[in-house]
Amino acid sequence: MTAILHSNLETDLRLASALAANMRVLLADRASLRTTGAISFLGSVNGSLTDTLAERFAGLDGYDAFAAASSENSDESSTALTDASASIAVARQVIRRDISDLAVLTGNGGISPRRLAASMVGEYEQGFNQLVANAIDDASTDVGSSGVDASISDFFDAIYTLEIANVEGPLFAVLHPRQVADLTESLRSEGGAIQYMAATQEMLNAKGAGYVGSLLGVDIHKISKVNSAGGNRHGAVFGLGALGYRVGTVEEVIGNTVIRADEFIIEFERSASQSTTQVVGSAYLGVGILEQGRIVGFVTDA
Amino acid sequence: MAPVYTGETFDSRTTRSETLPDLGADEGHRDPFHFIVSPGSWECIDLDALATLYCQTHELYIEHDDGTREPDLDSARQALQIDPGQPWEWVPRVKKFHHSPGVNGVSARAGGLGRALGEYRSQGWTIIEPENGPDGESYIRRLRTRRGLRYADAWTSYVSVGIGRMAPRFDDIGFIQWRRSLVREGAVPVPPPEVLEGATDLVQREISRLEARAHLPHVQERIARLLGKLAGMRAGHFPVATRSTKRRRGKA
Repeated sequence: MTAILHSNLETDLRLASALAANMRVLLADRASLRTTGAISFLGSVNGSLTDTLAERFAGLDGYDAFAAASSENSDESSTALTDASASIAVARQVIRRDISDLAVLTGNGGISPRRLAASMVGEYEQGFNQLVANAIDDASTDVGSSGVDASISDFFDAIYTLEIANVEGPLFAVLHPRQVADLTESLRSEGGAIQYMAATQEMLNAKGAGYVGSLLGVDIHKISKVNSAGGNRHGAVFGLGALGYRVGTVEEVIGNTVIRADEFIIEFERSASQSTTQVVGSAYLGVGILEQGRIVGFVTDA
Repeated sequence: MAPVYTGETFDSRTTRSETLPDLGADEGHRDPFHFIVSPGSWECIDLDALATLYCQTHELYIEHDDGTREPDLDSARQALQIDPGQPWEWVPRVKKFHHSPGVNGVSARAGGLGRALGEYRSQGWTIIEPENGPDGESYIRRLRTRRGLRYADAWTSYVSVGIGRMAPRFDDIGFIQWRRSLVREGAVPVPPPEVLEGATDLVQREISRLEARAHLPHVQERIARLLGKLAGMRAGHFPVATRSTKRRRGKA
């Protein structure tokens, strides 16, 4: 009697290996800084006649103070008004995917133009994070030491620096995962009371993925996009108003199927002659440091 | 004589993208960059630690008759142009100003980068041009990766650390030496004493914070290290030119 064995059925009736029906997403950083409130929204450049708008700063509401007159009837000199500005240029950010009809029809729905469009929500957030990382590594003052792991002392230094500069809260930290790990390690050996509140599920629901917790009153956000230079990661600790972003909203798109999301659009462009569909996500976005005094670089070993 | 253009080496292996390294989504950078220096950001580095690291990486040891060995710090100091009497030195921190449209005022228009850099320069930043890199070469390195071109600095390379995983490798000594050369060659001006006082103050505060636990041996050690650093910071030494230092072309 000859038994029917799986090995005998290969490869006409059985396969040595096949693809599972379910599809998982690859491990990646999916934090969203945009939704945390740490980066101030400055509006859009629509109708402004330029792609670059300078945020204007004036020394008002207590920047200068009354001073004693030199005498009862002295003719006092005028106090100059201090001003400053910071440019935010909005530029096109884009991602494009092309998929053929054959690739779609042979699949089971996991990869399709619609799924690619939905995925662009996350891709926009990562693009935003990259712009923030590029901006914060240009902070003009820093704490931490090159080649030395991040420590609680560096964190204290950042807070001291911001306090001395009269930076108002809330305070935020944007750090690389390596810096967060080193900081946590340093916390373990710290004596005395240190106020650390780890992220709970409710906090994660409110503040999104990437929120690590609050240390000494500073909300810590972890993103992998934090840049490195010469073996150091360039994170930052800052107060609200240190960083801002501006958008441009595409107003009229004619000819394609368009999905308008919050700050970006997705277009489907069909090439009938090639039997492919282009899925293109576009945004007009600019991020920048608004006031150097409100931010301190957190530079530690990568 | 007419120039001869030979082109780059081409074969089927080098054009297959799967043979290129994949640095991952977050390593390397899509855009090139300028290094910039803020007048308010300096750090004091331990040159003895640098010399020790040099001995370790270059296998520079003095062998004793009893079989023991110790780092040949004198040779290392000579190679690194370190004055033995000045173990601490102030060097500038350098930042990457990425040529990324949409960041810190960089517009995608022609001249957008120059305008943004000009704004930084007018605020007091020093812009280091790429050709002022190590050995007169550019400090920017371009890598062909599976995800397209990526840019890194001259002191960062990537090594394979497992299947599908790459890790950055940093040349700490080279990076510090280059930053020292920026001061020596006058590319970066020495900051006012107030900048140094700010950084010194932070170390003093750390010592004060640790003093409450000074009875613990490891904290005592840390305080002793910090006191050494504080003394070095207060001595206020900067890299100085030696006879062997060549002055490079151009200055930012």
